[in-house]
Amino acid sequence: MPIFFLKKYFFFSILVLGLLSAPFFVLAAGVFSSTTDDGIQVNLEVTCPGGVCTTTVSGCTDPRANNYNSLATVDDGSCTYNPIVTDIVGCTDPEAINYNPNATVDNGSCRYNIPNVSDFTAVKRGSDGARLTWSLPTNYSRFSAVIIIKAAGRIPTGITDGEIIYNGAGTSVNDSGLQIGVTYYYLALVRSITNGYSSGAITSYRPTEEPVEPPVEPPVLPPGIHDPFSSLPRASSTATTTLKDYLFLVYQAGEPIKQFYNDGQVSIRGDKLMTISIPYFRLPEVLKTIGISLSPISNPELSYSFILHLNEDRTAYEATISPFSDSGMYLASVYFINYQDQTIFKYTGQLAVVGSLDFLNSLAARTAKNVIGPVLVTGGVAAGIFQLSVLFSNIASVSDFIILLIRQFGLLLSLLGLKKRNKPWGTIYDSVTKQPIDPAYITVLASGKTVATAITDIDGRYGFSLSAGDYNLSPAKTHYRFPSVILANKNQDELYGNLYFGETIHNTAGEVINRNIPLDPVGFDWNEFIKSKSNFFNLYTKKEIRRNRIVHTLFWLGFVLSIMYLLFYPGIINLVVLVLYLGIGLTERYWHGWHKTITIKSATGDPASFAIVRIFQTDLNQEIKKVVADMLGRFYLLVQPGNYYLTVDHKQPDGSYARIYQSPPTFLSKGIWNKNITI
Amino acid sequence: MANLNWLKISFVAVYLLSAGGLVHSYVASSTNYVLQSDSVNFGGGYSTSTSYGLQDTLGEIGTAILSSSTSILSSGYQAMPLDTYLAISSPADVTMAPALVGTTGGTSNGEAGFQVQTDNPAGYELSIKANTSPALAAGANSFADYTPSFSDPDYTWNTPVTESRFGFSPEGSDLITTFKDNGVSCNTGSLDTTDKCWKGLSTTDQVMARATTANYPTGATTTVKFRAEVGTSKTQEQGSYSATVTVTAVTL
Repeated sequence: MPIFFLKKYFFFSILVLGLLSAPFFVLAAGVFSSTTDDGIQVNLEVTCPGGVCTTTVSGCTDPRANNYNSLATVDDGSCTYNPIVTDIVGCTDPEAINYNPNATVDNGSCRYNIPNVSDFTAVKRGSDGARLTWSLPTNYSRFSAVIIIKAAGRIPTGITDGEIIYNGAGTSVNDSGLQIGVTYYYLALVRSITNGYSSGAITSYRPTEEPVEPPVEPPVLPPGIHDPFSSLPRASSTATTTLKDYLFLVYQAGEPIKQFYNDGQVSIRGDKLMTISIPYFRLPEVLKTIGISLSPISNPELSYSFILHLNEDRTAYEATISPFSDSGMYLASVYFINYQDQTIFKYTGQLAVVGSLDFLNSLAARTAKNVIGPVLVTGGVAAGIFQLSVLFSNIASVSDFIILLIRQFGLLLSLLGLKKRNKPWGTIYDSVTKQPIDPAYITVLASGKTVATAITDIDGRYGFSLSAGDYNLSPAKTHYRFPSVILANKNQDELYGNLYFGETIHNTAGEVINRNIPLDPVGFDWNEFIKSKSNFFNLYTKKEIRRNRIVHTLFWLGFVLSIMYLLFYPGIINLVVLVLYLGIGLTERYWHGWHKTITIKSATGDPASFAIVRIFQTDLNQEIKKVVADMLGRFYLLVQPGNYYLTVDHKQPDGSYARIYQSPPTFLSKGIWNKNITI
Repeated sequence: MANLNWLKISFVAVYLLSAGGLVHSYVASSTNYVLQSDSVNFGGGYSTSTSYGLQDTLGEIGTAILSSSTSILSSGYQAMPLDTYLAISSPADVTMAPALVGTTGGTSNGEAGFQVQTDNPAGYELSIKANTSPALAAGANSFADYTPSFSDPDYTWNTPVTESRFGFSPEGSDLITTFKDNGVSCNTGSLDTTDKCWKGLSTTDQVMARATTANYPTGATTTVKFRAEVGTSKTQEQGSYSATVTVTAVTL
């Protein structure tokens, strides 16, 4: 029985034991994680001379001193001071006629010349009316209003001497209800913002009966017919003899003071205010009003008249006249009106006006239309093309630009099917920075004779498909040397293999030449570049910003002008120019949209110059493409949409490369890497 | 019938072998755990009273912990909880040299070696942390914890002239990749170039070294180098600066 028991249940017993022990086993086989640690103290003594850690800088600590040193902590008694300056009171406004450049405190004494209106004329309006027109003073910042005062049969002499028919900032007014046969005198005063008044411009109008029959030809008026003073009675001849002694002074800012004698001639600038002045003490006491009329000799029908008023100092009679609209000779007639006997003395001379505003304006307009406009429009197009060229390529010299144009022409022929396009196989690149060289010119020589040429594309690539034979390649690029000395005797570097250094290539039929050609940059030292990197980037960035600003300004200025040209001078050429502008602008916009440049920078902002960027397909862990960043750490990467990660190999001071960054896997829906990288 | 019995025997044997590994001291592992050792026993347990503690196992004899200069043997079910050995040496406190002059700046260095011994077949991990932030301080004055300026860690120690910094760099045979270099930069390569790859301490553990095998009794030493620098344009207040650093070893 026991044996049977053993036989029958032995295995069950063992099985039960095994099952029972299993929980113990699990407990016993649990993971034992042990931890132990140790703490230590790290000590460091910092001492300071004398126990004081503040850095002592001796110098002048008084901010008022000439030699104040903001870094000084201890005043060493070296402060020096300017002599005490006493305040000088006077007029401190440069626009005032009594401006004192030495004055430090304004005492409210500033006085200003108030220019008169110009071109003040009265013409017939209806049967009993007149239309008065004038031009406001130019470049007069203190202007407030124009006031027109009317008087019948006499010349109004001031703001209260007649009827005010206009008070405003306009340039014309109509007057009506005039009596036939009465001469009306109009005085135009300019009021300043401080309620000062100009001496006044004068014009007159005398309504006449309507002619029974209209004249066949416009009447030719005799000189001075619009001169309001001309109708006044002349004084007796005895008085005129003394007028020769009268002295007129002509003032213009920045010009020497000129004297104006009877029958004399004086030359003035037409683009500046002119103040005519007669010293008070040179005039008889009976004089009340002095007027001056200016009439261009080339057009005697025109006449502009002004009143000379006694100034505030009672030292002179003065009138300030706005800049002339036309250059040329003017007849100047000065009238001394003696109100005691209602007679007038006439005093004449000539003003030679040069450099008037109209002349300048017309010259500027003509120049703008005929010279500046076309130059700007053309320059804008050139700027746009230049900007596009910079986007698409690296231009370092004029020869580069010519080569680039040849290549663009070749591309055009290829597009038109007139030229067979070579497949790019080899790359010409910078041996130091590893950047492809674009554009470079490469020649294939057989026994010293040129058999083929090519210009590298934007990635520095070229290609030749030649018949069997021995060939030599001769690449050329401004500021580069071939063959490379830096990579001499090497078959490959960090980025390129199958390097070419000028040896003869034995080419079999159908074989393509796919050698990569390093060129040494002339005058570029990587070590020096690294040392002066920060300064260089600052300068280069500023230079680039300045260049972009100029080019963009030129482009947009030309663009606006081209629109204006098309509006004002419609034509095929102007239309083509505008379309050219639009084409360039849209191309640039499209390029920026699809050609986003990525920048690699360190946390401190230093760009990773010439770093090698490799992009890997995440699933296969396989390198897909590699590009080299430019000197500002910028690069552009376009691949098929998918999941990728990229790495950055940074160029070290000794010229070698070290991997400093690997991105997390990223899905590129458009195939463009569009995030800046911080390493 | 005999065949059936043998079949039963085979079944039980396979069950036991597969569940407990009765016939060999196999150490099993997966990505989540490691089995240090195993045993099949039943009965017994750990009993205590006010005057004694008893570990007993039914059906097991020869239980003990035997150690020599070359090995440790923990035999028996109750001895198993003691079978992972992990020890870390206790180096003396570090006094950095030379003392620095607060007005002119300079660099001071110190180091401490931490030897870790473990018979844990899965190895160990060694971390470091500071008790305060910033680590090196004297009252209200302190050195800034080192901030890598180019890569993390910095291959070459760098302190701006207007700052003062305190950092560490581990060296040893079990360094993790972070502190290895290729002669140019850290976090890559397999070199352990002297006085390269610097980081700042923090109040959380930063792993310095890791090994995935036992190293008893030889052990592995990780030397932690400390460096403090005062920039030439920085004025560091006078004082006795200290940092309390804790190095922790944990079995994997």
